[in-house]
Amino acid sequence: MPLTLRAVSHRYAPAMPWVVRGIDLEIADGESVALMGPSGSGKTTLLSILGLLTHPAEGEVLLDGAPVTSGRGASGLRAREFSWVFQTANALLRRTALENAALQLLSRRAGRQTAEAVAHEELTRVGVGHLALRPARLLSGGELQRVCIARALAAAPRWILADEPTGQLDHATTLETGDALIKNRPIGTAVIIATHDPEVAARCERIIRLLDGQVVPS
Amino acid sequence: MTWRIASLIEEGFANLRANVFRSLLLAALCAAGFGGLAFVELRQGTELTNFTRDFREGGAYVAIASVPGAGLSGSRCESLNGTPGVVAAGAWRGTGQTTFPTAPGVLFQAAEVTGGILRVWDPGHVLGSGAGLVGGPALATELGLRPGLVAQFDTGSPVYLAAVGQFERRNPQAARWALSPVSPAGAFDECWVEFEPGAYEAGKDALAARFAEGSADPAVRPYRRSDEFTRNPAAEWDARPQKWGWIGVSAGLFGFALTAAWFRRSESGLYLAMGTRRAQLAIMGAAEAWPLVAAGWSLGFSYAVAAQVLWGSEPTRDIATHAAVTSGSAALALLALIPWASSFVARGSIATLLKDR
Repeated sequence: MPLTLRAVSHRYAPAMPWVVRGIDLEIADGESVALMGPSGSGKTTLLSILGLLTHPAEGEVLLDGAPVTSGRGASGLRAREFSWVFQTANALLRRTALENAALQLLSRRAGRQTAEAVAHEELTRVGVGHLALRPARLLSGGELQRVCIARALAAAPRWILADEPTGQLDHATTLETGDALIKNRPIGTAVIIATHDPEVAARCERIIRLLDGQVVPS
Repeated sequence: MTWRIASLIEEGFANLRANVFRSLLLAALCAAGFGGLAFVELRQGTELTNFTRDFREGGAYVAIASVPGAGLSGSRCESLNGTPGVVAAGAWRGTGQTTFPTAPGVLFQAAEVTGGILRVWDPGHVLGSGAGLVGGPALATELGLRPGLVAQFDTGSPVYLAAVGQFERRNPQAARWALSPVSPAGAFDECWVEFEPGAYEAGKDALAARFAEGSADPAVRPYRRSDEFTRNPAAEWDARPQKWGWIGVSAGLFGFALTAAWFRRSESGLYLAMGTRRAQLAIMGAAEAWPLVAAGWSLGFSYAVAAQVLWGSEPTRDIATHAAVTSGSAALALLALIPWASSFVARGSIATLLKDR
């Protein structure tokens, strides 16, 4: 499988409890997967490990069968193959929506003109094209989250990881955002969403449930 | 492969433009820090330069040789001119008191001088050593004389007044003297010698030996007593606290940069999450901060020089260079450090950084 976790466990310091424990997981190219579970079940940590933001304390992450090490190798892979959408809509708030949406492409060596043209298309596709030149700090939470989704989609990554992307949105915006992320993704792009929302999870092909850092057998 | 270098630089510039207040604040703090440092250097340097100039103009490096009860050779004294370490040397001898018909009953001192002594007593002015009288300023005022007029002694023929000397600093008692330049042949009362500062002590010590050959028991005394000036400008300049101020200023400004980076660590986390390396963050940081540091230094240094000029005295090129080097060192240290502020603050897990808003 393209993205594989083998016996992955993680805790943030030796004296702290394990946040995820002994997880084996495989994600295929182009798949959409929802990670569900109560708060503190380890969704965000598992997502961080899948997205190479966190190197697990035990076990290994394999990409196309090759183990991923921490450091420069991981940062290169992050740039080339992964895009993120965060719960708190991380963005450069003083920069425009267009500049924010172009960031991921720029980090993949795209020229600025190309990056901004593609970013504008994605902003339009997720419904905020008319806000392209507005500073991100002046956008509503839903609008900003769509800018972040456009940023992730613009790079046409192999993997999109979304950490409760609809956690701070109202119901209508949640569904629109979920659709923007899951249905608008490029062919071949896998989406892994950590979510509490069953309606968002229902839009995914597979649901993985976590409890106390372990995968609950379905 | 990630980011093109050009994109990183553009990104840094874009962040600079987007955060107008923070950019202006950093530039202003740099201007204040570097300018303040430069101003302190300019102030102290100019003050010490002025003191050193006054010290020298006041005759700090002038020695006087005499032979009590006898005379010393004027030729030997004049021959000191041209000797390494000697600025000027000349001799004088008193020829008694005299009066002028235009000021009946007022006594003036008449003296004969060799050409060199006019350069010791009135440095910076060429009074000449040809025919004609050189009058002290008080004499000229009291008799209503000015250069080019003819003075008539009560005894003797009329004399052309060649110049009026300004002797207040080097020999104020000569203010009421009438000086007649003469050949150095013969004996004179005193030989005045001005040395270069570095040659003063050795030259003064050698002076007695020079006149001992032809005269008995020559005495050499400094024009200024050694305890008259208690400051040592060179030592003061060397011990100035702001010499190391560039470390404090650059550290302080880097502290501000770290604080600003701390409040932006979610932005750093965002870049890192997209695969940006810390070295690339530093390039971005350099593109954002270097123009501000450079502008701050230019502005601060210009204001420091302007403030010093407005304060009353223009700094010399040497002092301005010192101030530029000291404040420039602070700027260079900051230029080296500031690109790393984001990387330094953005430690720990990227996921945690992204939550720090």
